[in-house]
Amino acid sequence: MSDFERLDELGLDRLSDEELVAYVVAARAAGQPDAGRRAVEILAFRLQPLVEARVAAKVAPALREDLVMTVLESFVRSAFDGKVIASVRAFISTIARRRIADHYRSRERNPDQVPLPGEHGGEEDIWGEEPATEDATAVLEIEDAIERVLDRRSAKHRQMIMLYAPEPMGGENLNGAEVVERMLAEHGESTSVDNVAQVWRRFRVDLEKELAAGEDGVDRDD
Amino acid sequence: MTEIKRLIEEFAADYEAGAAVRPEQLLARVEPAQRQELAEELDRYLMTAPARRWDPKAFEGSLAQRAVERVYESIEGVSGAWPEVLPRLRNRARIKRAALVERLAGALGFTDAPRVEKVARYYNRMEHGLLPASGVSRRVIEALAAILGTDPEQLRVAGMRRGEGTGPAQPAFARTAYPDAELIAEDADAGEPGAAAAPREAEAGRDEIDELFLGG
Repeated sequence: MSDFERLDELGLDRLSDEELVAYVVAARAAGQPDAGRRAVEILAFRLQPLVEARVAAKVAPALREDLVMTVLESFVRSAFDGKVIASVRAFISTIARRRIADHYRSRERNPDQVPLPGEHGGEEDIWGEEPATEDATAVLEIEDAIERVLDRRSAKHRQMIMLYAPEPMGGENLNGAEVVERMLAEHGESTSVDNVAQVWRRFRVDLEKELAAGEDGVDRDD
Repeated sequence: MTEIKRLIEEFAADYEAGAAVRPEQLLARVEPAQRQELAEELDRYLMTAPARRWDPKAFEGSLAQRAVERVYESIEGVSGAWPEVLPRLRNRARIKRAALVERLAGALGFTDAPRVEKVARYYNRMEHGLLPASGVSRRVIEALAAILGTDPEQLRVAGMRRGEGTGPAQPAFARTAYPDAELIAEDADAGEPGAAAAPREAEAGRDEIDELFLGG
């Protein structure tokens, strides 16, 4: 029997971002994904201003909406798949940073692309043309922690984790069955869907511990 | 108090009171030379601000709502990631849906209004996860990919790719990544999400357009 308890809007609104993500995962595990949808909606609603601010700081007005949507969709997909790691806001900031960088790379590859009217209403519409070089400390801490935890894995487990991991982690965001296929096709390694899930769970647990301890190994709660 | 600090406090007061906030409008209120600093301060505030109070009315029609809808259409529908991928590609290509449909119909050889309208209905199903990707012909995929400026194979795979489903987390892993066409058809027959809206043209009087979108 599942001990999942369905909450109403008021109850959901009282949860922290991280608790909402946990609720989405629990709802799905309990076979009640529809219960998780409202939690995802509340999360997306909370996070939209943060994403809009990040995108507005780096991208021309005509292109912002599409980029904000892309970031939010990527986050929602990760939340549904149970792949959000650590701080929700740091996680979505990482998605935004990557998507903005993708946007600039795409423009570099298509230098002949002529901006549409309104895309650059003037020099004042856009500033900081380059992708962000300074990020929230939390984002950098997560990336460093991921590297340290991955370094302690075998090559096979690193490959599995990076195939399964969400895009903000630099992963390919495949599902379990796809990871099994790719491991066999590209690395000649046989594994199972259950094993992929187990390797990912262990990675997440270790990552959470690493983030709690920090680079110097000192527990921040002390 | 500096101008930037004052603006952040003003924004924070609105945000924490549950009022509508527009970060881009705030950033536009200072001179270009100050915007980077204001953007950094705003980001710092939003990273640590109290959770935004839930407002169902403000959520209606928001980007957040559209993003959730697209993802759930992908998850619950029978068209793989098309509900996320097609609108994104269309936006990037700066093509409105009506214009895209007209070009798609033209590329398939249909120019009269009733048949363009029929192509529009099928394309709408693709964007909303209601059309099994296995039924959409290579000709349609190639024409669509050319209009959207993408690779036909990538577009096809996006339509076939299944998420991990809406069932319990672990058993859902057992789903195949690229199910056979027969399995998708069985899913539709079994009443999976989206199946109710599946076209009935398959039954009788199927024309050339039906074949292109249902016949594979």
